[in-house]
Amino acid sequence: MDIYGEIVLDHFRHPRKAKLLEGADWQATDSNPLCGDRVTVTLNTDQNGIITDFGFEGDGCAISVASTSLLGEKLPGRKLDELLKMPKEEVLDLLGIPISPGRIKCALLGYSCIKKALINAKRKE
Amino acid sequence: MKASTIKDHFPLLRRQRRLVYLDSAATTQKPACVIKAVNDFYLNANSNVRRGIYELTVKADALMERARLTVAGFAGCEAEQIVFTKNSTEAANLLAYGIGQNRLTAGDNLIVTEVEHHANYLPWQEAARRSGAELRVWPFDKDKGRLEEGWLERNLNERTRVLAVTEMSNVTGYRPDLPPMIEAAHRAGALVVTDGSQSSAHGRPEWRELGVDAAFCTGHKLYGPMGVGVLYMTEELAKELPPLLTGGGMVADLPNQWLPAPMKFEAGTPDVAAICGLDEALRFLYALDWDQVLEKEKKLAQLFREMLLSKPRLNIPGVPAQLAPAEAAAPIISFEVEGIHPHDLAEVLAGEGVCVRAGHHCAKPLLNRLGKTALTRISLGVYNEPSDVEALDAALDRAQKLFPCL
Repeated sequence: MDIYGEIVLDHFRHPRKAKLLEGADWQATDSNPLCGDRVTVTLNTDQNGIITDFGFEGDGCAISVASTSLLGEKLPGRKLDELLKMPKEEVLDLLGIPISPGRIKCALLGYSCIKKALINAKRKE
Repeated sequence: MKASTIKDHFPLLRRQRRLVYLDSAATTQKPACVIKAVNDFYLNANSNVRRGIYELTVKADALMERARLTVAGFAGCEAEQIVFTKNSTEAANLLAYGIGQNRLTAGDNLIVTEVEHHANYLPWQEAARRSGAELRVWPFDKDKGRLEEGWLERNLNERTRVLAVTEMSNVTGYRPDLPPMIEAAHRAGALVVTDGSQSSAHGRPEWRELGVDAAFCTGHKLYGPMGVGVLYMTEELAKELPPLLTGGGMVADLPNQWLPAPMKFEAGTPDVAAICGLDEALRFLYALDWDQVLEKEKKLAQLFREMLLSKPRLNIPGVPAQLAPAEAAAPIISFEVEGIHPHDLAEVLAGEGVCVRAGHHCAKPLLNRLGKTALTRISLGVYNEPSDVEALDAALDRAQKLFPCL
């Protein structure tokens, strides 16, 4: 199967929620210095620990941008606690393409960055 | 053997006809005779080298020393001047450790260049850190595609202990003009260490004639197996330096009367099978009429360069557009395509059977100077053919179509 299928290319060219939230409750940045990929995520939560909004800005390869966009789309409405337990396989499933070991880091950059933000949020809860 | 049939000597390339291997700077493919030599050692001569009496061990010893002679012939020096290491990295560490130990103190300085692979950079950085010496990094002039002119003369002084410089950049293919550097460094009383990891696969090293104090290369980039590197030292330096590793096979008497070089630097059981493979690899290159093959390789490199430069959005950083013919024939080219991340580019090319490498190529100082985090690199070997240029050309077209200019 072609790794650059329609879904990945669409989310790379037109990433969803690709704008940082102003005055966001939570923010985190992560990067992969080896290939220069970099992503910043912002999210808001309500008093019940539910994500109300998400936004990100990233600079990187198609896989890292598309996976952050795909994952970000699914965040609003979900519970912090539940997301903290989300296995990385779920992200790889969202991409729906075979990811070689060499690209796993690209595919999970957004995921690890979002986790960072979620952990910050959880600590403050 | 004719150059047009070279690919047939490489079983992996013969079996995977669709594969276009453009990553020889990372490691070369291995000819069948090399694989056989490794196998043959285990089939017919397996026993530990040195200190043995029975016939098998005599055979193993003879194979290892024959390999040392072959390598010495290749490097243009005496067999005793060749130390077998694990790879280039170990050779560089051996030198940096020994020279650091014997010759570096606070207030001294050592010079490395911005075009070094980390293997000839980090060991010196650490030697400087341990001794309190100053590490001076010779900048790369990215517009001219070479080390900054006049810098060495301004920075060499009587406290300079080492100049460590590559013979060929693993990113741009640039070959520093070594003779004047060596002369200047020697005039200042500094040792000169050169990294032949890339250059040795594109022409015999001339280390003794060049007049360097130490130099190294690695077998697996030279059509040999992984696990064996080659270190050359002048007799004086080999006498002076302490071993990096101590242990079996390198001591004349306890506590620390070391055997003479090369044994002093070869503690522990070496990878004899790999050494046999390297011996065979060099014989293979000679049998090919290597000089003629290298001439073909230069023409092919020019074809690759012309094809790449004809592509829209494609740049070759650190290499000026107007190049002398010799430089235009460099067998290593790193490029970028605007709007396509090098990892995405390498992945699309891989999908077309074209093997290239993308990343910082373990040359962060150079990539920083170029202002890049990653580049896509092609590098040539004896088996590459004009059809590989066409394959890369078509694969690049496909990548540019998938990732159109936004």
